[in-house]
Amino acid sequence: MTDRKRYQNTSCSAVMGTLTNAQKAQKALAAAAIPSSVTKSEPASSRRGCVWSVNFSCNQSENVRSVLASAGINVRSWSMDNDIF
Amino acid sequence: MIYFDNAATTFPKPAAVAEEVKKCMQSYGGNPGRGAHSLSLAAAKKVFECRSEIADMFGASDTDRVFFTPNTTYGINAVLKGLIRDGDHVLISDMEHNAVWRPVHKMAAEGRITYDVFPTLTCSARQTPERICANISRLLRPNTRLVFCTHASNICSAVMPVTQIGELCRRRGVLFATDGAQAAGHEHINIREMNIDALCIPGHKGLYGPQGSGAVVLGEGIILDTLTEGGNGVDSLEPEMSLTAPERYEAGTVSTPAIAGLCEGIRAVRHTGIDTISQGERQICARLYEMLGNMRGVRLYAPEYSGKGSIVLFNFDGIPSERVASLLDENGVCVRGGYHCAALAHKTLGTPEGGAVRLSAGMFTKQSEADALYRILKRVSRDLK
Repeated sequence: MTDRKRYQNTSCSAVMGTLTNAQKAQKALAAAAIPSSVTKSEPASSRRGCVWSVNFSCNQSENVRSVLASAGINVRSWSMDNDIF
Repeated sequence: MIYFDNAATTFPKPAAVAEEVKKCMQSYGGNPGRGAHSLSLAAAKKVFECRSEIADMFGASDTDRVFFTPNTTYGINAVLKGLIRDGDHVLISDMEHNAVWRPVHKMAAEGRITYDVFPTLTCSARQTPERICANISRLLRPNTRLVFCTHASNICSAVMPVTQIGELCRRRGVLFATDGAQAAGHEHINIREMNIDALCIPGHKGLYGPQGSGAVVLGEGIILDTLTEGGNGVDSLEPEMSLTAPERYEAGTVSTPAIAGLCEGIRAVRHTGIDTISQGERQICARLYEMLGNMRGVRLYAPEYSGKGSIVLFNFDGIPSERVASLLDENGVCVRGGYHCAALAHKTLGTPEGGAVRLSAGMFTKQSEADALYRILKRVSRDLK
């Protein structure tokens, strides 16, 4: 099974930190026609407390990384479901 | 009722502003950036919309360069106290509002900083951008950290040469902040093109938002020390505020209804167009200058700026300005007398003890209201004699 197929229905997250940063990321992804949602991350995902993430389909991971990098948006970490990767 | 106190706060507001405030309070007013439920996220979406509008309107490099404040004064305090360090020297103009003068004066009185007031030559025939910049240059010291200047006066229609001052500050390695209380929505402002490191704006004046809304727009790379600390929905287990803007500067719950209304106010201003709004206000004020100039016993201040802004300042000879304002109120006209919280500026203009009467037009002011005001003033002037 290819990675793309394996992650087809899996949710990935870019952990952004602040809500505004997550909203900026969502706006940049929307402009690239990549659906995403802003969520507050599970407490376990950050030892620093509340953080905000952008969720997207894992098969878009490469595109998301590219879009966010082009937009100059800092990502604290990446996760798939609850796993940091 | 005739309203000529738009420099204090614009009135009325566009219908969309009131409708959005109501909608926020009744349909989506969760606490933005706190919970993850639908109402909290909906509120956060509206706050982000407004942040984006402000960033776009004022040329910020990014939405995270905009943080919300309850008013301009708070923003000015946040910038001054967030940028200035002990031992610094600061320059402010002789047209500043107390929102700038008082915090700077307090820091100086505490022995933490020193400051000088640079002459803007307001009302002088010698006033040019070059001479104002020369006055600033003369007062710069090796430890001058910040020049703070009002963009547009709150007591007359004088507008400062912000672009030239910004260029000078950039060249000399000094930070430059502006008080945009009377300029936002009246003048085109682009912080990048004007080399402004921090712009403080109100929501409730020329941007037609509700009272309780305001913002600071920061230049790229500017990081302020925090004025207030507390919850902001980010890194909640940490004892310190995170460095990441804008949440770094927004401790405590922001006023979502005010911000929601401000978003619509900005859209209304941008839809109508700053040039269209300003042109209408200037025509009305130029007409007022002309009419009042022909009235016996009226002393007009700063007539040099007639037709250049939305403010007219005057006195009746020998009559306290507050008495004139009170009589106008009794005749259904809202104006403001006194000092307009701008002691430095009144001193610069040479207004007498007791200040002056200020008329200020807005987007909804009609020429017919200016004519009616003139007729009322003529009647009132007879009562004053």
